Amino acid sequence: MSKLLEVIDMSISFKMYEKGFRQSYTQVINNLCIKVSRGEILAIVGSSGSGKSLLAHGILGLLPNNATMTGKILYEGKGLTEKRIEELRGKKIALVPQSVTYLDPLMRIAKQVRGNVKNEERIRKQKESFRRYDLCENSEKLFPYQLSGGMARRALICTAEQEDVDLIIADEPTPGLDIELAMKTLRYFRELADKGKGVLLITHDIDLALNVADNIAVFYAGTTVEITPVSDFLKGEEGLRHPYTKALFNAMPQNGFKAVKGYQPYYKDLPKGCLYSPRCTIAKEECSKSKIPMRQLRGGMVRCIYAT
Amino acid sequence: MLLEGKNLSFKYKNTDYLFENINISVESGEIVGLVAKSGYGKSTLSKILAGYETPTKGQVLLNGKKLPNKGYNPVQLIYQHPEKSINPRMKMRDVLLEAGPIDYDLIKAIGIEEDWLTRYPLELSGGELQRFSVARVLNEKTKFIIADEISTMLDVITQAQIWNVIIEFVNKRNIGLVAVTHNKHLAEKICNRIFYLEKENRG
Amino acid sequence: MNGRIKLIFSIIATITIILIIALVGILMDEDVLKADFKIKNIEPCLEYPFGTDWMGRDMLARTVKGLSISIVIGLVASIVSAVMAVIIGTLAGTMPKWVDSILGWLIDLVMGIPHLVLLILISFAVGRGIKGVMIGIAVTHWTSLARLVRSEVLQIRNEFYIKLSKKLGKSNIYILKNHILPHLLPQFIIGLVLLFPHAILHEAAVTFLGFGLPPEVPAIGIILSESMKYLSAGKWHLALFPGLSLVAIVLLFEHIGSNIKKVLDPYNAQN
Repeated sequence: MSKLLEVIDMSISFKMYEKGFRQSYTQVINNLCIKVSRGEILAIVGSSGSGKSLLAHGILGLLPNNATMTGKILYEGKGLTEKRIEELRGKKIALVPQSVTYLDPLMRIAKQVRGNVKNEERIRKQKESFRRYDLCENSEKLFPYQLSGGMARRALICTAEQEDVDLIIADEPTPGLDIELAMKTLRYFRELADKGKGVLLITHDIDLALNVADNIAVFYAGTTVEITPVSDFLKGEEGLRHPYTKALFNAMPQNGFKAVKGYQPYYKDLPKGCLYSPRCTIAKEECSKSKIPMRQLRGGMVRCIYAT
Repeated sequence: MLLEGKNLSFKYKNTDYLFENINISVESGEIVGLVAKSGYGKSTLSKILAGYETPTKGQVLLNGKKLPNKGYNPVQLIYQHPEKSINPRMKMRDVLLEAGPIDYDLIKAIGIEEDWLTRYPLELSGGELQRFSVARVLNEKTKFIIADEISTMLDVITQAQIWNVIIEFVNKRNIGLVAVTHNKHLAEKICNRIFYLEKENRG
Repeated sequence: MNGRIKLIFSIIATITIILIIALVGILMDEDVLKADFKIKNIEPCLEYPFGTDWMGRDMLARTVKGLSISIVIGLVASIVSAVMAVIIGTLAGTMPKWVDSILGWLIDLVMGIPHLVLLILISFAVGRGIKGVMIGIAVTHWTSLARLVRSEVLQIRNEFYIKLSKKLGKSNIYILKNHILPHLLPQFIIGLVLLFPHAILHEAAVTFLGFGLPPEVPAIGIILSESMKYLSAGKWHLALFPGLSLVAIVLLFEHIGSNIKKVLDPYNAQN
């Protein structure tokens, strides 16, 4: 499997006003590392507000003006510059956005999905994907506001399919879809991956991720704390590496439904060392001293000194 | 106490019926899961049961009587999107105070830090806000809770934390609960019985 | 210094300039405005920067006095107008449907007649003078803000948190006070400030046409209309400087309005 996308040490910070006039820089994503290979689905799971969507926007060069990004993004081994991403965006790298507001409200969806060109090939392709996602012929003429939440999301997924892309970044593609449709969507991502494309699936729904992904990157407070093969996740506590991932596993309704205390730190006052240390049961003094690097462990990666 | 939806049908103007002749009932102390595909009108049914929407046909009865139009509604709805159930211009303390005095033990149990009370909603994440909209209705005036996909957007730890507090409260105060969810595992974990809203009900 | 401090500073500076002009005008010694035929028809110079007119009156003093009258009229008229707009807009948004229909019709009616025509009619009907102009401006300028407030109220009334507040047992008055009015405050402030230039320009226009303030008051409209007769005689300064001052004041208000908008706009807040 050849490496398609590699993100090394990405940090994103925002220039913001605090109460009144003080301007400050807050780091929302810290030293994040992930990689996606051809044929792989990497699921990024984490709670809302952990910076998952920002990662997608960072890769695609869609950050707002007051954001600064550091670190390296490699696409097919070469650095992803601003100019290069502009060429690749939509052609080789496609985004399935989180919100329906990404659709143009004044354009009929069929036209929107196939882009503003009229040729037989494209129309055929668009009709095909509409069929696949249970969007009936009548819906082609509708405007975005006339779609239900689920239909709009399916339309968004169709848009990403139109070009011959290599990397698909799907930002929460399933909320608003019921289980069956969500699974259908994800299976389609699976098919694409099996055909040799890379998929970066950003979601908060671990259950769904476990169903289709190859690897899972666990996000916490703007960084990855663990990257694990799905098979290790299914083994539960023994298979997993990071205390946070173990806590996630134990909190699932089918395994215990136990909640660890505390809350994800606010990005304005992140702990100095390990971001999870305030909630961690095995944390020692060392954990709060300095930043913990990512390290290899049992075929995965973990950001914890004591993980075994 | 008994909360009943009798022959509930609902349609918007100039559309087909979203659902027809739904009969659903919950007793105090009972936890009922409500499971349906998207687009089948789960949210609308929740709103009808809590008195936010009027059914096109049928009625909602609490102990045989209609829901009150004024004053504290004994049937409270917790909505999927906490950011829509909280005024963005209000401090969190005032948000809680709208429902009555603050129960500090309860908000601690549900994971609300006391310094969040002085913040505005924009300064909190979705999961943190949802704790507030749950805490707000956990008081002695509430007799039934309709929870509409309240943990869909949350991570599993927050989900477990919030649900554990709700279930403890519901059991202690003998409250009836309708949990709308599409998470099979969650429904199996917490519910006494599950009500499926299905195509057959759509007439 | 960051963007937001600059904005606030600029707003305060502009308000100060306007206040100073208003105060100087109000506290001005009447003697300065008196005719003195010894110094009639002087072109702008160091001693009389705006020159003097055919009766030897100092044009600078007259202009400042005129501006200050305009500012006071504008202030009163736009406050009355904005308050009317908020009350009518809120009523239209919260009362039963038929109230909304009547108020909507009223808004359309007032908006449908050209401002100036209505203004002339009203100020003529209530007896001209400062009172006439003020009433005239106040009752003609509330419409667009009222319409805006109404649509805001209709929108926010459908917010889930408002319906929820009701289910928590809160009264309509509580909801109006704690949810709806705080939401309207920024709109109100911006609307109020942006009404100002309108009010001032209309005051000057009505007066210029002879339906507003009486000729003995040194209002900008009067100054301009008097100077018209002397323009052809080459007395350009009589119209130019007072005219430019009026434009400057109007621009200052616009400036305050758009800066306040920037400060209050959450989308702009982080730039």
